[in-house]
Amino acid sequence: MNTIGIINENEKVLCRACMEKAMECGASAVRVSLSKSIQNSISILDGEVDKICYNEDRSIYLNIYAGGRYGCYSTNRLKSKDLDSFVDMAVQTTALMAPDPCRGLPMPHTKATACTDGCELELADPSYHDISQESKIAAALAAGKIGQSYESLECEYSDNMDDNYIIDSDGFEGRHTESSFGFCCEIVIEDPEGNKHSAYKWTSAPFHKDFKPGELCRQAYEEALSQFWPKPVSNGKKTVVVMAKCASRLIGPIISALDGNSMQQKLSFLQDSMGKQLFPESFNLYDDATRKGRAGSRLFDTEGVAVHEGPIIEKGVVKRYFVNSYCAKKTGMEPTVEGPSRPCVLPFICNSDKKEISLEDIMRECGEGIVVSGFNGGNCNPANGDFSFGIEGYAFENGKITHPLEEALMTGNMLELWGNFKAAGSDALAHARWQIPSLAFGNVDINT
Amino acid sequence: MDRIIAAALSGGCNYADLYFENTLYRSLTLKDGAVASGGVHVDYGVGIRSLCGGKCGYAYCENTDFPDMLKAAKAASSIALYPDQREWKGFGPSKTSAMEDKAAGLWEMADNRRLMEILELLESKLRARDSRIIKVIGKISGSDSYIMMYNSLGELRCDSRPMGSLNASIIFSAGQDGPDGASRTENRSSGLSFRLGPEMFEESMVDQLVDTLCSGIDRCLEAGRPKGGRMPVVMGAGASGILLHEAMGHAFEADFNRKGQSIFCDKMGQQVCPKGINIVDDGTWTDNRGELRYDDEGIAGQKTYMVEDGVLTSYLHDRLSASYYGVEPTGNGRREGFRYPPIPRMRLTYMESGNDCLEDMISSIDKGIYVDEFSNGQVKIGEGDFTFYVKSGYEIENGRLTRPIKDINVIGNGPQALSDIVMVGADLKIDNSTWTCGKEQSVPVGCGMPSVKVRELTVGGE
Repeated sequence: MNTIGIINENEKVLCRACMEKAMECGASAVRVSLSKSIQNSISILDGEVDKICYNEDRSIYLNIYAGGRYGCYSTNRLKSKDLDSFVDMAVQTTALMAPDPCRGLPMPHTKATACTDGCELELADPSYHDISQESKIAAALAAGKIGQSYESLECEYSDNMDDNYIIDSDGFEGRHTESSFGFCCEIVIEDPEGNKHSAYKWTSAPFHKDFKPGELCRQAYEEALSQFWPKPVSNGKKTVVVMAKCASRLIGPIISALDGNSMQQKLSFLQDSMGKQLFPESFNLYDDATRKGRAGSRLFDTEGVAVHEGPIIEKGVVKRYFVNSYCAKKTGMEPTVEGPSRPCVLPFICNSDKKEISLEDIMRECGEGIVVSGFNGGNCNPANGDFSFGIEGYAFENGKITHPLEEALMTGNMLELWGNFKAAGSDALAHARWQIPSLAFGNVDINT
Repeated sequence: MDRIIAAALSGGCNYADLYFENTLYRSLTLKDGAVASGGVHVDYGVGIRSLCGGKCGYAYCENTDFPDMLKAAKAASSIALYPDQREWKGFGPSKTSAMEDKAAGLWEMADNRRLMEILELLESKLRARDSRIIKVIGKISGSDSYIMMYNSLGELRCDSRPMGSLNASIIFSAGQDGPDGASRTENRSSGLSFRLGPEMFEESMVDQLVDTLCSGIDRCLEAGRPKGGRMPVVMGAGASGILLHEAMGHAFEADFNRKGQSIFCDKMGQQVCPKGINIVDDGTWTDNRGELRYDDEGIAGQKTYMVEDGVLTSYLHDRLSASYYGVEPTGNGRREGFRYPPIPRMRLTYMESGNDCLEDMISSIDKGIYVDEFSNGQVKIGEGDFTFYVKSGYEIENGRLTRPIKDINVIGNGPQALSDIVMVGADLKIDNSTWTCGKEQSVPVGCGMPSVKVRELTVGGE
């Protein structure tokens, strides 16, 4: 019994009324989603409360299928009279679209079951509603102070309760309730020559008891301090180690390229890659989709389709595309889910069976190169995988950091980059939805 | 409204405002040869802000029922529990007068069939123009926003804000007959966007978009990457305004300076770029995405010179930062919607024309690049390090444009890049693409630029 979430029985009835109204107006199938949230944030500027925000949101989303036509609608005007006219308008508007026989609800057998409570994955903190605003502010103030001097220290404590309820006209019913507590800080300090250096840190946890923001500002200060007196490195091909805190930037393009919609639009550098060995045998990407108590876990996607744990890339071989029901009908591909939930890269380092691998282990193994602590802009061409990213970080030699980098760029092609994959750590950030550890690659073009 | 304002001021707050919004978004998408998906989205609510010195309390509700607004006002006023110890000058009535309200048509009432025909026309013209196009995605989006603002100074402002966009992506393939003799698939995207109703569509607009997309196909299929490193960069007129937006505009936003975060926070009144250069942020450019009759604090739209003759003369202010600096607000207090408090944001940012010509810039370079199409950018405010991603350009060798280039990032430092602008063309062009700025909240913006030569930037490459 979900006693934590914020959707009540009356609102469920409202969703059902929307669905029935749409069917009465001529829809052949309908999915109704209600999304509610509470968002609370406290900003701390230079050790003092600077901004307090408290908000409650709720919106209804309608996916309407009528006579082989489709439309997507949303409103936050949830009074019955407003909703009735909105649903009526939505069905009428859908009738104006060109027909598309591939549109429709997912096949019933693909949908999740036993997911109506919302707390099955234990992602909502039962104590969420009991934590007082005073204690949140006290915690934020405590976390937002450090002993060192700085130019600016801006922090934000936030907590959220998200509750989502989905029903469709084929009888699916699902709910997902999730809380989170977060803290981020950005510090700006000056070196003795008056140059500014900044650092950003964040953490979050689904449960208040696991939420530990205490050391974050100090860590940000130390990171900013470590950037004093940057130097350029020579242009050329180098070994690059990407820290866990930003390594998902190199997984994102792979996930996008495995999306069925990208393939259908010929915008994927992994077109027709299923079952092919396009990556080194040491690269394993896995969707840890339904792990209890871990951010990112879920039982169903936004269509209500059940998510499953399993390999995305196994021993370098592509094992899974992300194909929603529309794309499946359009392309003939097997429907899966619309995207990964909690992708993780399994640890690997040359000449070792170690499963506990730190950033230091990787740097030691690589010897010398560049360690990337953050990305500054850049992009990846989805059609061919060509990328160019601004990078921040440090040069290292003999496994040890030597100096921070001046402005630099890494440029290449995703498949070639992963072809030179050297190592993956076991140091993914515990609070992150994407469990991507530190990664290392050889022969990367660096420009400074 | 006065009762809600009174609640928002309770506890000792010195200023409060209400921001009512009723927005209807509408979209239609053409994909795989048919306009088979679309939608309507309604967003309605009121944001309530309480200020206590420089400190802010904010809450909103998604209806305008009095008890709910009162509850939100009381939540916002809780900021008074943490009084500001610093001295603030407070807020005076706004002094500037606004432009006339424009008589735009309503997206809500737009003829669906006509909008579909525009998308169908776009696709047919694209395919007729170049047989290498294998996919077309076209999208029309439009919104009608009705805004009412009221504050504790008794100022009431009402505004209607249309916004329309036509965007398209093409995917094309050279097949076996491509210039490099192998199959090659590439994509290009472009868009046009204006603060207008559905009357904005004319066939010439479709033709312009078709021309922009198709004229770059050959270049894209031939393009490679330059050898990277530090080199002179010529930025073509128009979309190169992304350089101003990322390298300077954000760092001139007064909140970053008030908090000591911006690299420009101690440079007011100083020479930040060569004499003769003027950089403007303008809310009065008719029909541009950045046009604002009023900003989101009820301050009238205006044109603000940030840099005059190379000297930093103004930050971009909302009411809060203007009060901090003891200057008039510049009409840059903007927000994504009622869910967000206003912060200083750009509108249409551009550099005024100079006296040089593009040919002279190119001919003055032995080895460098010319760039004219971009997709995204970013800046680190403290360090001033900015990047932008180049979708299209050319190498410059011995004073001539040679091999096409694409998919490279360019990185530089804001103050350094400003001082390294060595030539400014007499060809200012405002780029009407669908630019959106994402500083904490998404707002529509515009950018423009004459051709400029920057002495040196770091270019990604092989």
